[in-house]
Amino acid sequence: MRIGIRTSASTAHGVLMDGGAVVSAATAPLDGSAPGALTALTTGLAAAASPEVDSVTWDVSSVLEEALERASEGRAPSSLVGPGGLSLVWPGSPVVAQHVAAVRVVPRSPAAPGLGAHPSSLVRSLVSWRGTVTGGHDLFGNELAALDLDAALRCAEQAALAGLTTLAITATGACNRAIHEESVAAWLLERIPRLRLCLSHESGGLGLLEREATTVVNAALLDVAENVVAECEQATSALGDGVSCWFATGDGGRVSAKRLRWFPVVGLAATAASALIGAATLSGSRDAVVGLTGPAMITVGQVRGGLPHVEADLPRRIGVRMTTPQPVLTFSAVDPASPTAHPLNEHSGPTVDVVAVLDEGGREVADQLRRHVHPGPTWLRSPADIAAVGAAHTEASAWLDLLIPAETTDELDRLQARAEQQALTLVASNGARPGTERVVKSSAAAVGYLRASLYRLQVRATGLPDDGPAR
Amino acid sequence: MRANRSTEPLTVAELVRFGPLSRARAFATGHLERPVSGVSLISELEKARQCEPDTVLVVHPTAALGIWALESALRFAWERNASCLVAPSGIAVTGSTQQLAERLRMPLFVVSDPAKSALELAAAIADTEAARARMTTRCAVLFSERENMRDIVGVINTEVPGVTAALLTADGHVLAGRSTVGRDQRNANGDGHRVEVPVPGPGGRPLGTLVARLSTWSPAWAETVETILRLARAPLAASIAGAQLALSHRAVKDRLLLETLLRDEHAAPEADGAAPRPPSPADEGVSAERIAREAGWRIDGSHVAVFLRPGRLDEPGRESATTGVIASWQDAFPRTDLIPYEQGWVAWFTDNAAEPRDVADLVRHRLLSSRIPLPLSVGVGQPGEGMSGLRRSVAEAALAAAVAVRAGGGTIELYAELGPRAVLACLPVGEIADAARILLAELIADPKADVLISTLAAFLDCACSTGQAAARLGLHRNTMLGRMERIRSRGVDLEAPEHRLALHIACYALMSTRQPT
Amino acid sequence: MTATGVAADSEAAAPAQTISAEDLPAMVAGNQLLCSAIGAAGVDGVTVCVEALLRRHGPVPLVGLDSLPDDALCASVGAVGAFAPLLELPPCGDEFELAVGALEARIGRRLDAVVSLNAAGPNALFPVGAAAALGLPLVDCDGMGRILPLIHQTTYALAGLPVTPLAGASQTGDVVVLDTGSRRADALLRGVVDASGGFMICAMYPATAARLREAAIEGSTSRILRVGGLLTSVSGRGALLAGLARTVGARVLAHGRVVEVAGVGRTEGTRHYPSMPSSIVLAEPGEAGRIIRLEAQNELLLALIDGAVAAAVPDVLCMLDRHKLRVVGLEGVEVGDDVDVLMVPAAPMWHTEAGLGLAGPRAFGFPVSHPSEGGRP
Repeated sequence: MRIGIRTSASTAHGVLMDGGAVVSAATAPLDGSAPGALTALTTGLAAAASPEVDSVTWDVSSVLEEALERASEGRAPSSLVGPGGLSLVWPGSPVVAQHVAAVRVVPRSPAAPGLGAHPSSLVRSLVSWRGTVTGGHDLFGNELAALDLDAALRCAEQAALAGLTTLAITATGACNRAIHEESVAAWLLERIPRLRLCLSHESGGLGLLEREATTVVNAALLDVAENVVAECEQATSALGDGVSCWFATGDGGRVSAKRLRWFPVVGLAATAASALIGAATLSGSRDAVVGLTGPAMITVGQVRGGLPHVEADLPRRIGVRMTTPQPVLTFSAVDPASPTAHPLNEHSGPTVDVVAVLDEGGREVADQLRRHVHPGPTWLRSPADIAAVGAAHTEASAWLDLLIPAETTDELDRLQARAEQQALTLVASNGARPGTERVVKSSAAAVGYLRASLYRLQVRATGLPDDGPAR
Repeated sequence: MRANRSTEPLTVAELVRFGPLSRARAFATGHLERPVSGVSLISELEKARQCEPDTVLVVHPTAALGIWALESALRFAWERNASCLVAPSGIAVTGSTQQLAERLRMPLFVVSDPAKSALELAAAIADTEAARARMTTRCAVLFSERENMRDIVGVINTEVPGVTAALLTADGHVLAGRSTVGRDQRNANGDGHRVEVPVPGPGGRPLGTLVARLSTWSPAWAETVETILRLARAPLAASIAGAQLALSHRAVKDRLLLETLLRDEHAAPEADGAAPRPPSPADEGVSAERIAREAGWRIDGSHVAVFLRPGRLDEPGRESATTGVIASWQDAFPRTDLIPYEQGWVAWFTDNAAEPRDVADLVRHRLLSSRIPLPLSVGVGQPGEGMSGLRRSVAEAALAAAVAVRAGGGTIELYAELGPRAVLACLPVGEIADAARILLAELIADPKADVLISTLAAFLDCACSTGQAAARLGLHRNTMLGRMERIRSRGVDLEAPEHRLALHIACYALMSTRQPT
Repeated sequence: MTATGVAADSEAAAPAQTISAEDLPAMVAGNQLLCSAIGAAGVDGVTVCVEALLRRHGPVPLVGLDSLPDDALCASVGAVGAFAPLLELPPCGDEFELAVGALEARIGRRLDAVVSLNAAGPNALFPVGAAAALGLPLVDCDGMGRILPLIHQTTYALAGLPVTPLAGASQTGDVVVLDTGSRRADALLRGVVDASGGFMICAMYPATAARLREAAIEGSTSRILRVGGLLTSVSGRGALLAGLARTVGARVLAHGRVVEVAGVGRTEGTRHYPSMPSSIVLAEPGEAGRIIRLEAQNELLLALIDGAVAAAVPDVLCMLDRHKLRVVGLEGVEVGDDVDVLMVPAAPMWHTEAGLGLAGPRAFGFPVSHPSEGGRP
């Protein structure tokens, strides 16, 4: 049996699943009034489990997103110990993402201040110090400028003077050749070992700004993730040694605690992805258009082959484009005053196969839809939280987004096969049972308007269900 | 390549059922009743705008630039009221293209070699009678293979396009076939597209009526269907009597027997155009051989086949002349049977010493000089050992006869002397020559047109080597180059490889239809 | 932009006078309509760069060709290259000065105004940045009215303006000056652009205002601002389509749901497709719904409805999401999208025989007639 838990700063919804069936569901307030609320939730759910619980999968994306929102509102970053020695940690206290330094490795410095800025206000608010290092490659892997390691060291020292020891490093062309990012990292860590570095090629994807945003957000969430993961691990370990602890991701997969500590950005958007999986699980359909209702809002996404339909580079709810994949969603407002004037009612509007309640207040919207939309979709009326159900059902996954030059079809085939192999290996190292990995998407799209042949490879892989302990 | 016959044309369904489209992948096949009177092969998309109505629009790979171009051709075919579209298999037809074909009610066929299909289609269309005869023959063969009346009537329903048939008792009870046919009969005011043939029972008493309903009607088509129904009568009667071999009519029996005996020969040549047959049990051929032996046919030893056919392409059908021709033959060769087969008649001489040339001399001497009801063209095959050898020899003789037809009545051709030219016999040279006169109008207008066409043909024969062609024509190289220049100046593009086959065939057609000077 | 504002009914107003940083959202939205579905997702780095230049140097005057003296020297500014390198390395901001400076040095004269190479996609924004950085006015005209792949596919070239001398600057700071025949310029420049990473800001077609009056498509930039105003402010589909019809003559060819996206690997478990989507099929709703096929080579070039050519390059084709009222690009198109297919007619110069020869469907390898040719090949 599996447990899925969706947490926000203030509430945790848990569910115990036996295959596709809900065994029991519970909700715990996390306002700090009841220490050990998470552990009480897991042990409460596990009490009904027979046979034993194999895994607990946590959807912590709300906590991470709230931490980013607070940071963008200008709140002070969390420190683990607050004034008077009080522990300012989640759950119990709201957490805030920390500020970081951002370093770009590009051939030249911007011609004027402002030219090197990031268009996202969230990224701007997270980056307290910004620097430029000469270097970088073009998309074909040719060096545009020799790497200036001394400048990198100067950047790190200045950032440290500003009190920043977490650096997000983004080199142009790193989606194809990461050697400059790696060289900077090696050089800096040798000299300033206490630095924490996030490198843009680790998230992959095309676009300096998109990759920088991903890297900055990731770096800003490291402390928050440390805190959250530790709490979740503790609540999981209360169930015994054999119970593995996982974290749901935005692509509809799950990662180990260790991976989320280092790469918290993948935990963003996990609620929507999990909810789509949950709707697919409870409705028994592997391919469906799913409507998720919240107060005055319906969110529509797709499940294909049991997995949420995801893409990279989509604008986020938190106002930034990132390279990590998230579900492709459309949001439509539902006017409570005019219950018939909602998008599902339009003749040519989106058709929805399954409707589930995602958030408080969504039940009213769902009921409203139910009365007015014909022909009727499948209505899921489960007392369990749909995202928690989905989180319990996630499997290890991997997403690769690379840019590769290939002159011939044979070469492209070879490189694509290699990328697929790499994705499968990643799935295995993310905890899938060996031999259960499979590629669910593998595309190579030519990059237009270039003489030479350059392809953007996107490979998505996932594991099949396995409930053994995390490897 | 338009058919210039006055007989009413084939339908797409017939081309699918037993013609060149039988092996094509087909889409939008709910609309196959369109008539076909010609073929338009286009190598440029825009040429589809000029496509003639009621033609098969064939898209050459050079014009098929993508699925969009295929859809565009579908559209042009629809606008021009073409019969159907034939496209190269290099383009993967997707759901939307299929949907569009359905929307436009335009049948779409995908073939591996559109140019070859165009030639085959042109041949089939030019020879409508022969095409129908082939279908009739095919039904006859299938009738002979079916043992109960339901299967025999079923042959008509599955093999004859646009026809539903049933065997009805006098009071309208359906004995076999589609009950809808019977219901129609009760509605005496039906559409009138019906053909009926009475079927005798075992004791000679009438058993019932074989009724066919035609979705399209024309006199010739009704006649064809009636022929098929008549062919079904004897097997039906036989099936009822429980004795398959109690066939009353000798000619039909011989013919059916020969068809069965030679059936492997049908499927073998690529250009035959026959519909693929279900694999037959191996023992069936053996039993056919046994029956043939019992009938006194010689099928062991070395055979030389002779194929006779009406001497001119526009000669009326074989059926009417059969009796006279067989009678004449038996006068000349009392010990050798002549059996109706395809567009003509087949006989074979079995003698280990038989030489094709001797056989040809004998036929010329004894038959062609005697009084026969119509001019005949004769083909002689190569000697062949046993059953398989006989099949081959018959096929060779048929090809040789097809060449002989070109030269008019009274001609005998030996397959051995034809070589690969035999394949050219299948081309409708008359129609091709008509087209070539338009295509090469400038060249033909030249006072030395004949010389230039021969030169061009030699040049193409020699794989575009001016040196070899000059040697072959016995010309000085400079004379040869001069002529080539003159040919080019007359608008003939020799540089485009995709034009060469068409040019080559055009020259061949012009030369074979050239008036004797 | 101070004069026209962004309201839907402003197209009858006087020409825009200045473009400021506040006008950029409208420009970004507007340029997407005319980019034939390529790069419709937008390039944030370009906006950041141009916005910074406008904030630093102040608003750019937008002037009509008629307001310039006959001998005023202008040059067309635009980016040459691919979207991917631009995404991966946004401009530094000094490329405009480098390119224009090199061109001025080559011809021995200072420019009086900046002209757009093609006011569509990111190239609608770059001339604004150039004018800001150089302190020059921007002329309200361009040479394509859309995106076309070759630098000599312009009305400038149609009118006989030479594309060279041409100067280009890369984000790395490399500068190149080309002096060659117009047809060879593109081939030579592509080699340089690829070698410098796949992207360059270029200044080309140096010409006087008098010559440009016969060669340019006028009102291109103000048109984009009006379109952007509509796209960013109008909330109803009917009002938007009516506005686009009035502003740019946009006509809805058909609407339907995307049923097929061929030529890109968006299907699960599928191996690679070696190109961008090259074919998009839409089905009109209803039993008798027509089938619409859009053919693309980087940009949308051809629309066939039930197999008949309904619209073709150089007219602009684009897809508009019927619910979100946003331009849908080839990068983002999905099976199931519900879109209007719009055709924005190209400038009359493009519909001449020479214009269609240079940028009509046959120039892209489609052996079909443009609808304006009346069906004759």
